Amino acid sequence: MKLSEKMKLSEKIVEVNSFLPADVKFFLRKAAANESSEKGRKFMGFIFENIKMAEKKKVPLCQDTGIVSFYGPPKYNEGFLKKETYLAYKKLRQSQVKSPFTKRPDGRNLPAIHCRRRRSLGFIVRGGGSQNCSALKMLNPAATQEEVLRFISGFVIEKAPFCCPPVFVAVAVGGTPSTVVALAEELLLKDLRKKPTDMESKVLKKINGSGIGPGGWGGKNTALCVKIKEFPCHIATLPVGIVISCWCLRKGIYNG
Amino acid sequence: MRNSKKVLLPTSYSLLTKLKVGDFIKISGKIFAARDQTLKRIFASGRKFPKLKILYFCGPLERQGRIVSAGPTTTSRMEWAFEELIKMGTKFFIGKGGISPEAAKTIRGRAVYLEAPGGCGALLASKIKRSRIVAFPELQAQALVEMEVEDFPVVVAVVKEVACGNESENKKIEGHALGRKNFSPCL
Repeated sequence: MKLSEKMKLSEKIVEVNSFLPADVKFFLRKAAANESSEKGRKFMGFIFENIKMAEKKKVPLCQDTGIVSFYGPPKYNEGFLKKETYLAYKKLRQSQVKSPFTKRPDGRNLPAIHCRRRRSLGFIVRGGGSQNCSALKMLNPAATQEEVLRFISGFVIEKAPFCCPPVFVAVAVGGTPSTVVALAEELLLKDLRKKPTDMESKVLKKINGSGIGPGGWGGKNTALCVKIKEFPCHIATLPVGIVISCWCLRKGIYNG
Repeated sequence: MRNSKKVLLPTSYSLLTKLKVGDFIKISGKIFAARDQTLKRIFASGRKFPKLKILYFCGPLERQGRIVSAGPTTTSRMEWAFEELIKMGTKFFIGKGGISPEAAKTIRGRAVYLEAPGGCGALLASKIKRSRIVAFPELQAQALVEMEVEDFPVVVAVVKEVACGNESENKKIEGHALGRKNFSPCL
């Protein structure tokens, strides 16, 4: 199903929770077709059963409808995004607390987290399991490319069993510590089917060599896709931001 | 589905402990959904919850009073509560993802860890026939919920005594799994 262009933003946020985008489905189908482990195949079977069920009943694929992050130009102001998020989360699970100390539910899933820096408005919904598997690491600028890639694959292999593999991995190298993780998350908005670079293929191969497999049930599909992008950075720093999304990558572009 | 045994709870408790790691089963019966804050509140309340034999780590999503999506949440986040829960009488944990070797040791021989397919909230919600909030409604998604499930699919991850079902196959997997502290020991 194609997401309607005329849909309200709040409706679109609700919609992406039930209907996965084409590039995500492409990778899932590929993994289901080439998975060699029996348990891994079984897990992929559950994934497709779930996708079918969610589309048919128009219910969220995952109960963790997470927190939504927006990436877009300033014309979509804070008030607009808050209102649309509030409306959307009336139909989704309230997964936010007012304070990490009191743990009282927020009841509105606000504020919407907004990072500017794009021509069109894109958004990503990620659950807690995926959010927990993120990294900001300040490496020594003396590190070679090889070492940076080793850090990335090592981190993903360590975390993948917890964030519903097969996962999507987005990495930003460079920038500043306050921006690098957002830069990484934003990479997931693009159509991920673009041909991978040598670096990306290498990291993907390394991760998939771990044998963690779909759901951590064993197999060769631990990651579906790796995106790595470089950004200019200070001569004395080497920030690395890693964002991992579960197989259920929910995202959308809003043109309204 | 192939190899999927049906297990009716609580009558087949003994059967469940005889299962091997990696076995797929479908459970039917009453389970309780709880997670991070639910467990904190259970312990803090001092109340006895004798019926929490099967704990499902889950924060369901409701629409108009009906659960529409209810997949498992990350089990490793609840490891701190394992010991106490087992002492309280929990025999089965259902969740998703790996657990540490220490947590697996805590469980082994005393309880069973079952993994449900992560991210499959819509599918798993369709296996819930009835549900009701038992305690802590103010916690919303983290309230203690009783669910009656039918043919709820899970895979056995940590089981009584037997570390791994198929020794040779599991050794291979265990080789890379146990070397890393965060991987579920046998799957």
